[in-house]
Amino acid sequence: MDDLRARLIVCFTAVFPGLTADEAPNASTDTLPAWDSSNHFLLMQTIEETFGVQIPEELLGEIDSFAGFERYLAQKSDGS
Amino acid sequence: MKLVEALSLLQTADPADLPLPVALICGFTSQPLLTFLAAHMRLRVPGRRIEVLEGRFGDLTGNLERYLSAPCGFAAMVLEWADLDSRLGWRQHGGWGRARINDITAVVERQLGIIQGLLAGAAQSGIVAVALPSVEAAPVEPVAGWQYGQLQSRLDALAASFAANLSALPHVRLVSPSRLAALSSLHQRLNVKTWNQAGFPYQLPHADALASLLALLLQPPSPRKGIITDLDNTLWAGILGEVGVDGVAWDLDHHAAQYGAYQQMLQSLADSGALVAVASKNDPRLVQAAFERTDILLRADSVFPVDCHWGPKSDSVTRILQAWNISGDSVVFIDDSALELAEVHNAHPGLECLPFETEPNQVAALVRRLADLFGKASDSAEDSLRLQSLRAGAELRGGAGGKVSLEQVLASAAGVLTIVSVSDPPNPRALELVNKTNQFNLNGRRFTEAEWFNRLRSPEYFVWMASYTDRFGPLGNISVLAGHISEDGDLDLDTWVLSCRAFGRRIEYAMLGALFERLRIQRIGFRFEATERNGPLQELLNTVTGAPPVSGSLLGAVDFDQRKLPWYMRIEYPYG
Repeated sequence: MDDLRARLIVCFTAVFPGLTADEAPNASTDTLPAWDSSNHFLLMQTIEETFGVQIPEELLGEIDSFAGFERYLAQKSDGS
Repeated sequence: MKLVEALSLLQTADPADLPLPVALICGFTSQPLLTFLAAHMRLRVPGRRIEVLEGRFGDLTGNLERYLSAPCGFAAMVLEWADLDSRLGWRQHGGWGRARINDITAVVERQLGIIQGLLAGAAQSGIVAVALPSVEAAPVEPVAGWQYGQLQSRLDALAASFAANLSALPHVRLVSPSRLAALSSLHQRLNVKTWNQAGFPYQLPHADALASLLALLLQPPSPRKGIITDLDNTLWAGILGEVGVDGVAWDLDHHAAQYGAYQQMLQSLADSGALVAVASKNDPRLVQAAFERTDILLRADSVFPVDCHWGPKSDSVTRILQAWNISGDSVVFIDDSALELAEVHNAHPGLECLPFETEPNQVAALVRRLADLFGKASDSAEDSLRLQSLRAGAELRGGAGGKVSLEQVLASAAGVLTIVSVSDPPNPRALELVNKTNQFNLNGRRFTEAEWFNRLRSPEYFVWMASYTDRFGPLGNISVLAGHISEDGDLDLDTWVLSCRAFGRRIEYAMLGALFERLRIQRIGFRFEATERNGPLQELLNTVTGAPPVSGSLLGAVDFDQRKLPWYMRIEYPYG
């Protein structure tokens, strides 16, 4: 498991207490009932702080899954 | 603390832990501030599951009113300018410009007046920690950033007046703006992006800093009890044995004003009830003469004991701790010598050893550190009696160690034990005594203020507090016990503490006797738990029950009559 994914799993399991590390990569707003607007904001804040990024406002509503965050962060780390 | 760390910390709480509710009262989105607040409260109150209660977005005064209608005991109220008038924020656009200054300040003044009135009338609501606005108001007034404009200065004056009024309320504690500034730079607090997105106005490090101070206000650390200080190049500049009594200095003329500041701090702490002792390798006669100088700022009568000799400092510390009858972990030792600090630390590892660096800025930092270690929200009557009690105790022990027997000393002491119920009105000294007493403590249980006040409201519980005085002087309030009568008619005693200042007078026997007599009970059940330090309590229970104490140890009236030691004090119950 690469470092980015491991750190992202930590963010997800911290925000969603019932979520296991195995379940986290499949998490999305569709699969996780606890992923409401309040936790979405908390998750954004946690990810921004953990990875030292500022997620643009236009993407805030669009990223709605673990995979989406992973893709975004991978692109940021590639410099693209 | 990072947000992910705060979230992870909260997950370590055991669902079976007792919940500790804390209300966060604000007008903005409370996440993630409430996460940080819960995490810092968890660090301050381990073993409890923190439940942070939040209010409605955009309704600061409504949230306060709702909290006060059903207080949970702990509340943190966080103000921002935009919660007092939305034109002072960035989310809503009610118009900026000089023409609006008078109207905005009038609205803010009215809002602060409402909040102040609500808080002033809520003395029974438990502790409320209040943070004044901590992010700059939006630039409503078109002045350059380097000018302190009319609007901001008027707003700050209103906040200062509001704070001054609140600071006089015993149940309100204010976050120190200067300490917040030390933790969080003013210009790195505001987050307009998250404010616009989600209604949360703070950068995360600022939210963390604010939450840490709110938690400290709600659950402050126990103040240290005693300071042991060196003399030469610590309490004063110079070596007394070399330069003589008139050669040591602590004033500006001798470039030694930092020593004067240190003396003033020690005197101030002594006046607030801290114990101050001297451990110095010095000639005792010279030291006595130095303390007789009229310009000394730490008075000789505030220092007890003064232990001067040429042996190891750790021996002095041992004697001083014995004289104070307290353990080293509530004491600070200060010396300019790294060697002495190391020697004392090795012998007394629980004692906090702080170096006295003579450079004035470092002395200023030390003085502020002492304020943090010893500071209290207010002084109690017992604070002024503590030193007097210790001196009296030494006199009592001196009498007992001489030709006069202990029985004769106690019999001639003319002691009076006064027992009162402290359920209504609640007496803050009772909780303070319960939470800081270690040696004579039934089980070591600590209470938050909210828990204690809830307990006092419970009709089946009784709480007694005892004060004592004798010919050696008053000891003030020295014991608290609490419990209830169980269905089988026994007393279920779950709280009992006795200040170490009161040891040796058999007050503990008198209190047990009072329980049997006043409550007309045949047995007392003790909710005992052994702690690392409650040896004196264990010794008593062993004596009166005839067996090492266990949880639920019982003491019958007949056994007590057979095993008790005589007490000579009169017991008074002024309120029946």
